Amino acid sequence: MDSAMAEALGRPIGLWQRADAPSTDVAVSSRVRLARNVADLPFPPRMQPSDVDSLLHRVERAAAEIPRDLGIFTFTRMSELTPLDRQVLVEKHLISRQHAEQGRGAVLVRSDEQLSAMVLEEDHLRLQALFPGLQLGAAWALASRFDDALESSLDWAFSDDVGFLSTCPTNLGTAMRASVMLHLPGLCWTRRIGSLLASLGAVGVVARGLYGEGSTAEGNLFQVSNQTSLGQSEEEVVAHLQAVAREIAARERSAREALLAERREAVEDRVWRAYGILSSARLLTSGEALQLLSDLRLGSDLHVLPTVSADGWAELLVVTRRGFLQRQDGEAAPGRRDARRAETVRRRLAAALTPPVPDHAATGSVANGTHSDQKEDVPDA
Amino acid sequence: MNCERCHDRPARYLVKQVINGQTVGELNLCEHCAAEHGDLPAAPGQTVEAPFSIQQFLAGLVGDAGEPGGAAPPARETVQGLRCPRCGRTYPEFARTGLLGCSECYEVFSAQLQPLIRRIHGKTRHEGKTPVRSAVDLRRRRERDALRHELAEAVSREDFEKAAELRDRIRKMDGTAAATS
Ligand SMILES: [Zn+2]
Ligand SMILES: [Zn+2]
Repeated sequence: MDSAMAEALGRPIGLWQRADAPSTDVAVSSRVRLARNVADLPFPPRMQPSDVDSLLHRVERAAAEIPRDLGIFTFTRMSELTPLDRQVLVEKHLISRQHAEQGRGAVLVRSDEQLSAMVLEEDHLRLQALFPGLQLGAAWALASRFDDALESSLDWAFSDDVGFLSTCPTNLGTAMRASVMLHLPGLCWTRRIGSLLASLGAVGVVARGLYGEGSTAEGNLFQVSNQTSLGQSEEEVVAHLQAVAREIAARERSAREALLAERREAVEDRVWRAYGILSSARLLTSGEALQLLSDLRLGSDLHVLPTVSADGWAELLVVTRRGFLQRQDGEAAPGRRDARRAETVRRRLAAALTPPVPDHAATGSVANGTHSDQKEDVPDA
Repeated sequence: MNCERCHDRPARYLVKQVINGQTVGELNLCEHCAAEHGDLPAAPGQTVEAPFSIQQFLAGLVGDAGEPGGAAPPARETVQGLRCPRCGRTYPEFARTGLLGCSECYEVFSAQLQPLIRRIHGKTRHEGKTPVRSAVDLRRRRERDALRHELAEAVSREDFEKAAELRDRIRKMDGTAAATS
């Protein structure tokens, strides 16, 4: 395995996640994914072993020709990765569960992990660009440059009528899936989430859980994305989804403010309990950790708790996942995992928080919950 | 039990197809295929409602399996016999998985795909990015088609001088295309 890939597997988050970003109080990250197929090869369901070889060789060569100003990429065959390595890539959102389970093809990753591609998942290539916060326009622009760079050595299957040809007709056209990962504890707590999600279908938006592809909405994290890909330009789709995400973020903020106004003690109790457990528990399951980290983040965003940095929090999300934890700690028996998780969280929590714990926290008189120090790209609702 | 769409992964969701509030069918799907249906997934083992299924739609297109004692609709045989000459994908495989085998499949199954695409996307024509190089090829192809058309007209009105000039221009164009590809 390439040393760049070994490094990526060893660190919880990529460099892209360290940058400052707009709306990080609600939007964790923005992603644009493009499906592309090479014109003269059959699609994955009909590929012969020789077609697979040809695809991998061509993509590897194309990757080597990417102009240096777009960054340095590492091409790794799935066969070089253990199932545990692949699980870590899923937890870092670099590949899908399906790609990890099938274990064929390859993965292409830029050194900062902002750009990556799954080779031979449902389509020959699935390119993605990731940005922190709500930045779909930037994600589309970068994904498109990545696409152009690969297209200078690969011919895409494309039709003037229906656009980029995909294995499944649901991805036809732009073959683009834009998505935003949203942290919605306020809407979940106030039980407004159900009707909100139900209303998304009418505006062409779909919601899913943290790891997409059918996972439940653990940790109050939801991925919202465009439903269709044909008949609207990438710019239109991205602008629409950005507007929908802003609207959801505005509702989430008002739900949080309503909670703080009407049930301050309950909010303070819940987030301080989360802080207490995270900073002193000796055993933590992954589900419990995710829920507590959601509460911790809510407390930080409401200025009830000390501030948790966006990247420190993103790291905590990954270091508590099964694969990452196990890979860091090869010899730990599964029974020891909950103890290792609790220990990891205790060790990292202090670094993620901006100390000191405010004095008023102990007395219960807390400054009014605002998020004025957050960079916003929209005024509050 | 394996997923009824990809037949590849274990089925974890019972997906109900609901059209106009009526449950018209049920499918056992894996996580991946359940997500492709565009629903908000509940926990594995739970029932989720899917508004639309490619398989169901394609099955509907070729009519019922045949009335009891009666013959199957004539179109059915023809459609079921469709096969992509390039990749070998058959219509039954496409209808079962919802997945195509190569870019030519889009031509071979176009009669069934057109209504399906309209149903999925609500639109039928691509708007947005075109690949840089295909776009160049496309422009060249359109230009060449126009010249060919002019050539045919020149020949039909016996303007051979014009025809020769047009033929040279087409040859020159093909030459540059061959040289750059
Ligand atoms: Zn499936
Ligand atoms: Zn085909």
